Amino acid sequence: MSTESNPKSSAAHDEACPLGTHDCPIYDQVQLLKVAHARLSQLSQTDPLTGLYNFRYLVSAVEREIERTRRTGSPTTLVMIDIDHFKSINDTYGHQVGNLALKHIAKLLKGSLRKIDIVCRYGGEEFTLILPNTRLSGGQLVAERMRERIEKSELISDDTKIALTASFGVGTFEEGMDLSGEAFIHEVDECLIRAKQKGRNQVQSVERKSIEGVSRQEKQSLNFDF
Amino acid sequence: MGPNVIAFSSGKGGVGKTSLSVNVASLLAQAGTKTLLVDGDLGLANVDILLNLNVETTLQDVLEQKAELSDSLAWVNNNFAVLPATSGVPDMVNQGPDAQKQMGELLDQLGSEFDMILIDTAAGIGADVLWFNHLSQISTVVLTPDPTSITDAYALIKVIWQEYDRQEFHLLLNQVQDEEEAEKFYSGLTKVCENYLQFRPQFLGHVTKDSSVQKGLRSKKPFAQEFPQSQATQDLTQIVIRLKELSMNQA
Ligand SMILES: Nc1ncnc2c1ncn2[C@@H]1O[C@H](COP(=O)(O)OP(=O)(O)OP(=O)(O)O)[C@@H](O)[C@H]1O
Ligand SMILES: [Mg+2]
Repeated sequence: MSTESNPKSSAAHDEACPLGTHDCPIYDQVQLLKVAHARLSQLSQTDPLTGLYNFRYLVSAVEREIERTRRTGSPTTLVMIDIDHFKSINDTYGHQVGNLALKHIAKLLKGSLRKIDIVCRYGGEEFTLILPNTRLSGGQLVAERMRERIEKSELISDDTKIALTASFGVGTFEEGMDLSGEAFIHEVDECLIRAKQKGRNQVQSVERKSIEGVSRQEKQSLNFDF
Repeated sequence: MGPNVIAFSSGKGGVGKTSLSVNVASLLAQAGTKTLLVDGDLGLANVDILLNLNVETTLQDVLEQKAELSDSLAWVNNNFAVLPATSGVPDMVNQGPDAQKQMGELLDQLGSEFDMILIDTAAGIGADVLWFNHLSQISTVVLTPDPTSITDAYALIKVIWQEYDRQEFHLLLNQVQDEEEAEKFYSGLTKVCENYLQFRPQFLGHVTKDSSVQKGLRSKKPFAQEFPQSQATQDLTQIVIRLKELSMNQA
């Protein structure tokens, strides 16, 4: 017994029962459970309608990425997106079309990002992009590109063309910043709200007060000569 | 009446923040003001050493919920308490916004017990120094005629101004020859502030370079008590009067 229970050998021969028994019923059950577990954990992280990651995954991914920023110094940018007047689309054309719009946007977002970028559906009509290794200027560029793409895209349902636009909030987590993942998400969300308030179909970014040090001129004039 | 919290900061280290705040506190208490001195130097605390206090629990223990606030106050006399800090715990220096919030609540709580709260902050312009100033009604900037002390004091003022829009700073010129020298440096720094920051700092006062400061340090008692006739004590008495006026105007 003791020789066969080596975990290394069971991992290496995943196909066979570690005890060497053919048609082992327990082993078969374990394999089925493994598959089910993988599916469940994927389901628990994804949004069934769009196939994007869901809110739960977003929060853990943001925590993970800002931790990476703290470790490596490479910035993480968050883009939050909200479809403009989504409620009136739903009210006018029905939920089916509303869902179609969500899928449409999901596809646009997914279709124009790098492999390392993460796209999530944050809530009802809100989406979030996590852009690792991206500065604010890069995130603003991506957001502006997406905004344009959504504005120019066509969503056709029952021969009617439905105009879609979206509002964007962008923020960057930099090295040395003292902010929790949750607070970071909140900060970018506030920006998104500002984009809405300023008239929608636009990008707003988190502006952090930049602290400017003592300049050479200031130093010179502090060098009193009494 | 709100809490009267006064921060002592400097930018440059070793200019006299701790010596002066300990003695200001001691003079205030002597004059009947119920005074608390908070050791805000979370990395290299030493108020307890200057006052020869036996410290069991500290500010950090309170912030980490390991101790009661009331148990952590060390009483020098009926009117004078110290909230000591732990030395040599580097990660306490980089306290996040939570600690800042907690500290604010702590000060609110203490404000009902004390007439005046002084905070002796660390050197430098670290986050804790900035938020201790933010949590104070009065920002005192200690500087000496040393050119690096002047530049660092200016850097401190500039960063607090940028971070929190504070435009009221009270300059305390330490280790000067006389009042005349202090005023010379004060007006020099004021000109630069007016030029680049568009506001004037206030003149809180000066303390002469005086060997009794060091003697007090060695005897582990406030020099203001040990050497009441010394020039440094006389100078500090003027400063205490001004601080009292200021805090009356704040209330
Ligand atoms: N007016 C003065 N006359 C003479 N010596 C002084 C005077 N003020 C301070 N000192 C001396 O300067 C030294 C540093 O003082 P102190 O520890 O109070 O400075 P600090 O600003 O608190 O330093 P740190 O930044 O390390 O906390 C001490 O030796 C002290 O005795
Ligand atoms: Mg000190």
